Amino acid sequence: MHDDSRIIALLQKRDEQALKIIREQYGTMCFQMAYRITGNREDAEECVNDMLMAVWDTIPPLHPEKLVPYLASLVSRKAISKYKFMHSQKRGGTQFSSALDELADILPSGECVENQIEQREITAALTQFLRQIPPDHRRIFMQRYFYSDSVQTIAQTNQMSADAVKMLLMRIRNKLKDYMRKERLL
Amino acid sequence: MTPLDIMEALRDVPEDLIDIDYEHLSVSCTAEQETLRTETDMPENGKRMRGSIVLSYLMTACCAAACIGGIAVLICMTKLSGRYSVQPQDPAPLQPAVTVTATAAFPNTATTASALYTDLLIRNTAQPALTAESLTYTEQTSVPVSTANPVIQTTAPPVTTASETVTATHTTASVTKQTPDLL
Repeated sequence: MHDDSRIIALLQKRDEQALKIIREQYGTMCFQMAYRITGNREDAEECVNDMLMAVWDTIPPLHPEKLVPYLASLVSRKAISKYKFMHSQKRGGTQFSSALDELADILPSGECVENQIEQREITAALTQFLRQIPPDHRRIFMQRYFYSDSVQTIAQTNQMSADAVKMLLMRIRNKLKDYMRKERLL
Repeated sequence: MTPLDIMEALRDVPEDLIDIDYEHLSVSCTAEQETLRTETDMPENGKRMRGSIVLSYLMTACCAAACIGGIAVLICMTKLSGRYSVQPQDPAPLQPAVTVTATAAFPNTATTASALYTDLLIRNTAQPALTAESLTYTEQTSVPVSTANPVIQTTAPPVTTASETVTATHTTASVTKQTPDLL
């Protein structure tokens, strides 16, 4: 078990051994996260490879304190992108959607400015909301909606029943809904 | 805003909110089980699928064997029933060809044969149920009568046109006579 600071130091020195250690140490966790989002082994494996590439490209200049949140954020973004791509393929597959994809390549992140602003507002509101709720509620919320854990897994790791977890998640969602309305995001 | 927007926005929240000690909370406790579920359970599912495929093949083979066996049994039964069944006989042609061979030492064999023929003819018409045994009956006991050929069809309609041959072999006399329409 390697320390995160040592791995990050290796990355700062551009030592490829760091990627091997990350794969060995966090590869399973990242694969599970990606698999829970994409539902496909090959896609999940591809997401993990993309995540390692992103780690190599972003550290340096970034210097995260902890690797797990950083890796989780990276791999889940890759997985969501893959999920959106696969669903757009399923939904569209027409010449029109192909043309849209071609035009999306010349736009930053494939989104317009309004969407980016709205996304930032949503992120800010979520951040504020997550800081307001109790830590145990936040942990369960993030387990479910960030790490995509199943209700059973959350119940097991928090020594709760599955029904209690469902009920708690529903209450948190309702609170979030009220908060978003209050912030005029809904 | 879509649910996917919220999910994406969650990826941009500060790291301290993401850091819920997930590594120790989930990975060490349940992720190993999930690893088993996602990785080792897949071969298990594969094994189950393979087992079901083999089972289906076996069932198909058994059904095919049962069908072939059933067909074979049907063929055998058909053959056996054909061998031992009573086949309806074709109605015999209207040919009660009564051949009388006179071997007795009569001087005038042709006459004797003619008389015998007449006698038989009368018997044949008078007694439809004439049998081979009754054909041996003759007043002239010295004249043996061949009963090999007389086939009397009791179910056949009365003889109307039949060809009868009376042969006397002793004196090489052969008489062929066309029977008249008696009935």
